Amino acid sequence: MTSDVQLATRPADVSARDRVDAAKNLVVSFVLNGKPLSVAVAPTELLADTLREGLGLTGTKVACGTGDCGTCTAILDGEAVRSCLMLTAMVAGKTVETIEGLAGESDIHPIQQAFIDTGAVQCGYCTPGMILAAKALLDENPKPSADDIKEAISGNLCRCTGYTKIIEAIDKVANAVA
Amino acid sequence: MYNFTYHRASGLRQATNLLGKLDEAKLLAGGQTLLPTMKQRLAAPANLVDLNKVEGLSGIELQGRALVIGAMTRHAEVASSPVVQQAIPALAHLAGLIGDPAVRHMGTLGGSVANNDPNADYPAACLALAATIITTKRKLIADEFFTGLFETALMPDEIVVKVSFPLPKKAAYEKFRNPASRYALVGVFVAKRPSEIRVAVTGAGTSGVFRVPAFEEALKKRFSPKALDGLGVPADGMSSDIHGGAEYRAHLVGVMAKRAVAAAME
Amino acid sequence: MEKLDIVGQSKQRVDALVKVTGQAKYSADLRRPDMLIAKALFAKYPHAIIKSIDVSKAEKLDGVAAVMTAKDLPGRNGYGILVPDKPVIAERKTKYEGDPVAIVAAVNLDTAEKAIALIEVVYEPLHAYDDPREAMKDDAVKIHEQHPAAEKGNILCVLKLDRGDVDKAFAEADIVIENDYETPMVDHAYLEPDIAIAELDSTTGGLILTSAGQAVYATKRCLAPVFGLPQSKVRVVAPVIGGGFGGKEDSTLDVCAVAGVLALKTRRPVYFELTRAEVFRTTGKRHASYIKHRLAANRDGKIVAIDVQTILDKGAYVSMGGTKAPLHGVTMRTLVYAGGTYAIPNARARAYSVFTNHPYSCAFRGFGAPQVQFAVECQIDELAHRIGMDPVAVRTLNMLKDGDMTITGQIMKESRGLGLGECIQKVTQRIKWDQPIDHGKGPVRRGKGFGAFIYGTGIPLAFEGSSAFANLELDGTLNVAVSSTEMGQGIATTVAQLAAQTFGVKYESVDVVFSDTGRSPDSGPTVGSRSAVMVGNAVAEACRQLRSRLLEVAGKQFFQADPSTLTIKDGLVYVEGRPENAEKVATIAARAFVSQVPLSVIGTWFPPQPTFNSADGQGEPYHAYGFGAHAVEIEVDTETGVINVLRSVLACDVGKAINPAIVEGQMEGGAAQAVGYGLMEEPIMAAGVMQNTGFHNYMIPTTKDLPDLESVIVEHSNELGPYGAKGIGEPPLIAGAPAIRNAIYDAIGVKINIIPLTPRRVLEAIRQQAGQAR
Repeated sequence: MTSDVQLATRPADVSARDRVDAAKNLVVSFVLNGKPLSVAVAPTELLADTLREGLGLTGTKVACGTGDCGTCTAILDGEAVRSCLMLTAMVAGKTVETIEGLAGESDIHPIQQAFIDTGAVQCGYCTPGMILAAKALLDENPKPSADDIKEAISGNLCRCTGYTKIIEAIDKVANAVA
Repeated sequence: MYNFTYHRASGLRQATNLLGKLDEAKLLAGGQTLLPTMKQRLAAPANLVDLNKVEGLSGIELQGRALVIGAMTRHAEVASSPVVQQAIPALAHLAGLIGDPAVRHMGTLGGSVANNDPNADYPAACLALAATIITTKRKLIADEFFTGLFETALMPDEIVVKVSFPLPKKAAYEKFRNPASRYALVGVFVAKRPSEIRVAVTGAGTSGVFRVPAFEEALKKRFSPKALDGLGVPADGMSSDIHGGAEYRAHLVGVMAKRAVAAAME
Repeated sequence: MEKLDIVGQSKQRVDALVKVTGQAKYSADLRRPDMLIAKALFAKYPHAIIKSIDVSKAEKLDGVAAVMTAKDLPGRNGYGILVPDKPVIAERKTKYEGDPVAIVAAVNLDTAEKAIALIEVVYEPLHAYDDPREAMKDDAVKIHEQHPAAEKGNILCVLKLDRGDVDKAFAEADIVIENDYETPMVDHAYLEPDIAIAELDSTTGGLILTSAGQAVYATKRCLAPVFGLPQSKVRVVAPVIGGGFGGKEDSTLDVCAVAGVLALKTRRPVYFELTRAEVFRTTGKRHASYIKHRLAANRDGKIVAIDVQTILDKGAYVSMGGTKAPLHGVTMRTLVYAGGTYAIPNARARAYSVFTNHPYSCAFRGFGAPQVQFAVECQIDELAHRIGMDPVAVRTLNMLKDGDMTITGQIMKESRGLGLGECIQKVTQRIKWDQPIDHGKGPVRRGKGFGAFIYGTGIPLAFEGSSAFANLELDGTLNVAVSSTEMGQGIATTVAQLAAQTFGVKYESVDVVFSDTGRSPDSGPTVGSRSAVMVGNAVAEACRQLRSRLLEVAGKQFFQADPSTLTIKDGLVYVEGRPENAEKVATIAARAFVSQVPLSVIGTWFPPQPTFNSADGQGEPYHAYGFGAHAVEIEVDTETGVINVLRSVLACDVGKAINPAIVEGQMEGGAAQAVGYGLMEEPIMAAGVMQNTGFHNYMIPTTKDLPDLESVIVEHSNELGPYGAKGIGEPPLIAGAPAIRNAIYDAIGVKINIIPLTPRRVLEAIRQQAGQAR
């Protein structure tokens, strides 16, 4: 389709991963998935890159790098945030949860189980971020309405499922009889 | 992202000093706008001064007839605050419409007003509610604070500390959301104040947030959506991009204004 | 009849656990020792002559391992699934903004980006074509100065379909409906960006390419000449893929070619990942279309003829567009589906495929069907309104039934599954089509709309058929290997269920290896909604062979019984009806192993040879067709133009749902993409430059844009499908957009024939109509 607009410039670009070779001269201490740790990072380093490249936790995905897709969602002090829009330096003293921290030694988290049971997983690229957004919601609001669920994951894109089974999975956990 | 030096400020005075002495320094609040901008290499500050560890910059408080919100208060806190919901429900509603939950957990009031993005929501609230922006140096009324696209009256070493919103009698915000970016394609904030009526529009103007005197006059005579019948804003002066042309935006300003008035009357 | 206890069950996906725990390794999660990072310098101008390239500064930068331009390539500078017309690196001309002009490998991304910025290119920009109707004119600048397949100028090909006496039918018909329709390019918007890792294969001296691609064998065949290697020395592996939807059949070639030539040059592993903006700018899109659709009918609602002209925006390269020879591709589909899912005795269709300076148009869920069936389904509605008949009744009256002939002259058979009638019935029931809707009085109005569709299973006129490998392990577990890719659609699970059911072990005892040319025979590409049927049949065939070999041994050496009296179930072998005297599969396998009975089997399956005459579009292109119906309820905000989909009910005849949860997932995902196609998605092109190259300005549906998506599975068995299955991946997308468009007409009486139905477009149409009424 041709548009009637003529913009002179090409939209700016961004690398999904910022593997900058700046010196790792900042030491940042935080609690990751229940365990305290200190990492040496470059000031420019993003939390998503520290997790994926530095710590090998590749369950956190990066699909756009501009904070639009939600695949890099992590939980920071109980709230869902974008790890691609967060300097690692900013999480000093805070608590970070990633998908790798959800499962226990012997069993997986009820949200993970519900995603499996309802068929909410297809390609899986949105899945870790989606599950973390759901966990942040349920930790704060254990009985969310359908609209609450839709709102909580509205920043997490999924191209495969149409969200129907994802919403069903989260609802199933919320409304499970204890 | 270009390389920069990171400074974690522990207090406002230190932050101000750093801003004053460092070259090309920028403040880092929630980072939800600044970091993507830097990643796209549209901004390249040599120094970043992180405000996240500065005490006393966040909080929500009712002070007499004004609601005072700290600059580092996150959008999510404003949206869910019972104090805000009680005092200025339209403001809580507006905060809940910004971005998506992840953005609202990090993004801050101070960051939003200091950046003055022409599509951001908060500037409309500040202007319509006749808010006062309190900085490390002075107090600025919103009409003087927002000076143009991404432009404010802030001096290089001046930091927004809090914003004081006088309580309106009635107010509402209606937003026509760009479904992809979730920014306002057009957002209209209508406030009926004890002394005046204000209508502020974001998302639409070529020079950022603006008031619509014709709407305000008409609403002063009669605070009803019908009062705006036949009134509009000229397409001239409206911005145009791939999401909507000037004409469409001008049309939406009228529609959203009426809806905001109707919502304020509820 | 065999009782099915695995097929037909919503078994847990084989890949679910690793995906919910974050353990699944996608291409982006893989690293190689000593790995270099690649970047490409893409064309600054979408259409330009390259006057000079100076890479000297980039080459001198510390940390740069290689800088390559077209003159440095090891083999043929051209590839493509159908025609090798896309250069690895543009040499004389750029034809769209995704043409690499130079490529770099460096020690890290930062250095690679710096090197790219140091490359100096001088261009002579040419007029860039956005509209195929302009590009096909005689005086247009030829985008390809010499193209191996183009018919004339920028016209790649013109395909024809002729059946009956169209002119006579139009002359005699009571009603003629003629409209122009336009449908947009669309980005696949898979979440996982395109990535390739290329490394030298130390055993063969060739290359191993690891990439998120939908067709590992096709990738090997297309790219071997680019590397100057025999096909036997190229191994292609696709790990789990983060979504494809047709796009990663082609885009994997783009990234593999770049990574591959750099790995050969540097002798080191090379990692190449596109940024999201590069994915938008450089990878394939759905063919945009401009359709003139004429339909002739009698007053009783019976359609007598169609006359359809479709112009397709080919973009810069052939990709999966198709030509006269090879005929296979999207262009041919616009002929086959020009009459939708209806019996129409007279038909004329012309399809023009025209080069522009847009990203190459490629395969995308629906593969040529959504464009022309959008037009058909709008036409049917208009016919219904003109003669005062219910739109669904018109469809039921005209739909293809047992014994009817399609416009290609193929006779429809219930034995291959003809479930459209049941789909229509189920959807109308569920959405309460017969009950009048309250259209509303204020600015927000409501309406209901309907659409139906047909979609052939598989990829005729190309290689069509599958091979699969099955190996019975001595502990009684079963390994199955297919070259299909797992991109979320659930093929690994589907294959495991088919294998377990057919052979007779527990579902949990089957493991599936997928998409590795080094580990499985050629199952064909993972496209065309073909895998459940073609690959499924090959797997079932392999398992049947294994089963009979095992039963032979069991009969002779264990039960002293005729093998035909034996059965295998849940890993136990016994005489039918006497499970108490069972032997484990493992025990018999161990005996077979030492009795010279081979336990490794390759199963193959080919559908009946498809036919299609390129002179008149007649033939039997598909062995079976899937059908479906889609109804929506929407509201229109007449002051803003915003459309809100309140309900979406989709029924698909899938033949047999091997895994109902997976089938529903396909239907829900297709319905969601249909809402995107109908309402919001559209690359905005300005002189060949895409303006919306991020998820903040290229919109795809979020939770806020979609209702609960309702799905109804209908099963009209296909005698040639495994357990009766037909294809399901693509069909769910097809009828959603016209259903929404028809619902808008129902709500406010405004007819819009261009998608996406963006608020701006809807509001304009409302105002235009109001203006005309005045």
